[in-house]
Parts: sequence; C-alpha cells; structure tokens
Amino acid sequence: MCSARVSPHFIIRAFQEGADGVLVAGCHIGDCHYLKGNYIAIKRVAILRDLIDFLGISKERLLLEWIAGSEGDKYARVADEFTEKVRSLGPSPIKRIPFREKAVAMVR
Amino acid sequence: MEALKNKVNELLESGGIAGFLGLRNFGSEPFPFLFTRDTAAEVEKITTGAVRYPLSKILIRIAAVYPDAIFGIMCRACDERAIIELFKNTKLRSDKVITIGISCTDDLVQACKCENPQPSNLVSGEAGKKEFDRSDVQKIASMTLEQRFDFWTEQLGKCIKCYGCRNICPVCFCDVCTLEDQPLVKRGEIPPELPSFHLTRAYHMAGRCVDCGLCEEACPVDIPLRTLYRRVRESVKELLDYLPGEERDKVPPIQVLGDGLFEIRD
Ligand code: SF4
Ligand code: SF4
Repeated sequence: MCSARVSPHFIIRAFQEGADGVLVAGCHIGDCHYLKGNYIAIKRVAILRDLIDFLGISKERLLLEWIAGSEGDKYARVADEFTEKVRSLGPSPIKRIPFREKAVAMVR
Repeated sequence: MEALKNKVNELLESGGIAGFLGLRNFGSEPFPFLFTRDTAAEVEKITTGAVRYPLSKILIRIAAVYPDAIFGIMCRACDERAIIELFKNTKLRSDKVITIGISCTDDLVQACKCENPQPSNLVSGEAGKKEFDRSDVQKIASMTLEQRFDFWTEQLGKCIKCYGCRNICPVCFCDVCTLEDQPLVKRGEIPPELPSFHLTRAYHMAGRCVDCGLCEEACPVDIPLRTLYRRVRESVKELLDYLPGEERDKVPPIQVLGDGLFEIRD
C-alpha cells in the first residue's frame, strides 16, 4: 500500500483506539511507484505530529520512515528502535485516563 | 457607509455585477441580502453590521446556481482571506467575484486580535491597525505535555457536537463532511470521541484556516478552538511556508503532491 494511502484519519483512529505509537513506513522519495505519493505522506505526518503534540500527545509517538521493500534489516531496526522509544514514553495519555467518563463528569 | 452605497449602486447600474451580497437592516438587525437591479431601492438599508458574518458561504451557493454571473460581495479582511482560499479550492471563481472591502472598527480589530485587518479593495472606512497577539498559543505551548493533554481533554470534553464551528467556518465547504462519516464519528455521541473529533477537524484546517476566529465565537461552550487552529496555521507556515489567505499566487501545499523539496524537520 502506498504511503499516500495512509490517510491522516487512519493515524488519528489508531491513536484514538489507544495505540502508544504509530509508525508510517513508505518507499524512499524518488522511488514511489505512483511517482509522488510519498511527498504527500511526509507533509501529512509532519503536520499531524505538530498537532498531536499541541494536544498533549508527544510528537515522538508518530514516526515516518522511508523503508524500501529490500530493506528488511532497516525495517527490523526501525521497528525495534521505535518500540523502545515508545516504551520509554509510556502508555498513550489517551488510554491513561478513562477520558470519556472523565470528560462527561467534567461537564456535569 | 455612503461610499459603500455609491459603489454598490454604481456597479449594479453599470451592469458590472449581477448582484451584490451584503447585509441589510431588517428592523435593527442586519441580515444577509442579495442586492440586484430589481431591489436597488434596498441599497439604502445596507449596513456593514457590528458583527461579522461569513457571507462567502452564501456566495458559494449562489455562484453554483449562476456560474456565469459576476457577483460583488462585502468583505472584511478575514472574509477576503477566506475568499482567496475558496478561489484556490475552486468553490468560487476569481473572475466572477468582485470584493468590496470594508474596514473593521478598532474595537473589533482588538477583540479579534486580528493579524491583518486590511482588505485589498477598501471602499468603506479606514484600515485598522494590526493587533496580532499569539499569547494564547504560546501559553499552551509552554505547558508540559501532560498539562496540555489535561487542558484539552477538559476543554474538548465540553463539546456538544453542535457542528457550529464547522457550519460557520468560511473555509469549510465540503459536500460530504468527515465529521459526519459514520465509521469515524458515531452519531448521537456527546461529547464526541476525544480528541479524535477535534483532531480531525483541526487537521482539515491545515493550509486552509484563515484565523478569522468565527468558530470560537460560534462555539456555545467556549472551547478555545481558534487557538487550536492557529497552531495548525502556524505549523503549515513553519513546515511548508504557506499562510492561507495571504498567498494569492501560491499553490496550497497540501492539495498537491509536492515538488520533493520538503524534508522531514523536527
Ligand atoms: S478561525 Fe475557525 S472559522 Fe475561521 S477559518 Fe479558521 S477554523 Fe474556520
Ligand atoms: S461549536 Fe463547540 S460545541 Fe459545537 S461542535 Fe464545535 S467545538 Fe463542539
């Protein structure tokens, strides 16, 4: 699947469901099968990182990496490193609090 | 006001425009009104109104029915910024719209903390001074992540999902809205899922929000929405060097795939 197909809504949904981190991996710039799909992916992720950070979800929880189909070793390394990174950040705040109940209680 | 009336009459008489979309007093309340040659007598009752009104949203509908007609529209600086984005998003055509700029009172400019209150084609009033103040964004940016999360959870938790923010937004124009897309946003759930509902709307404002602040004005529960969208506006400026409404000749970066010059920055 082209990294351009990773709609920001997929990423937002993943965080909403409690993902502690989201890794978006795509083909290197210049290697896109659809020519420029990854150009849009990088813009989206960059904006979304700023945005979640402003809402209190560390931008380090969202990562974009270029990993070619032939770079299995890189894939493994990036996944390991990112997992460690996310582990050090702890669980996502979205799941930390029963925010829904808390939010409802705040309104009442 | 006289200058505005004269301008509208002149444009209607010369046939330069098929109609002028502005505000007209009904009793003491200003309402949107389309002044045409047939209703030219009404121009006497034209008003700029003390409050703002996203007239461009109405113009989109009128222009869709009369695609070949040229319309004039009363616009403040923020309206004009929105109209520029509407041109780029092909919701209006720049050769079919004549903007008639009006100034905002100093009080309004101050209340809006307007970063640029000067419309280009100023017909009525004097251009106000800039009042730019981004302390609202700074205040939140200086909090810790945890504080920020709690702040927004509390704020967004007040949302009654009235869609007022979307409905009044001059750059929200899609026929099908993601915020009503069933798999993403459950119907009848209040407050909506936090923070995804507002995160989604905020993301959609990237490269579009013109910082008019109408959303925050409209929100019945006083969520500091403008601050959120301001941050998005700033991000797009920092990352992609695009300031919606101010860059007449630039292609909106998120609507195109890009030129490959954009690198990941932290
Ligand atoms: S400030 Fe609010 S209403 Fe105005 S353009 Fe931005 S999101 Fe839309
Ligand atoms: S205007 Fe306020 S309460 Fe209504 S949907 Fe928007 S954020 Fe929620």
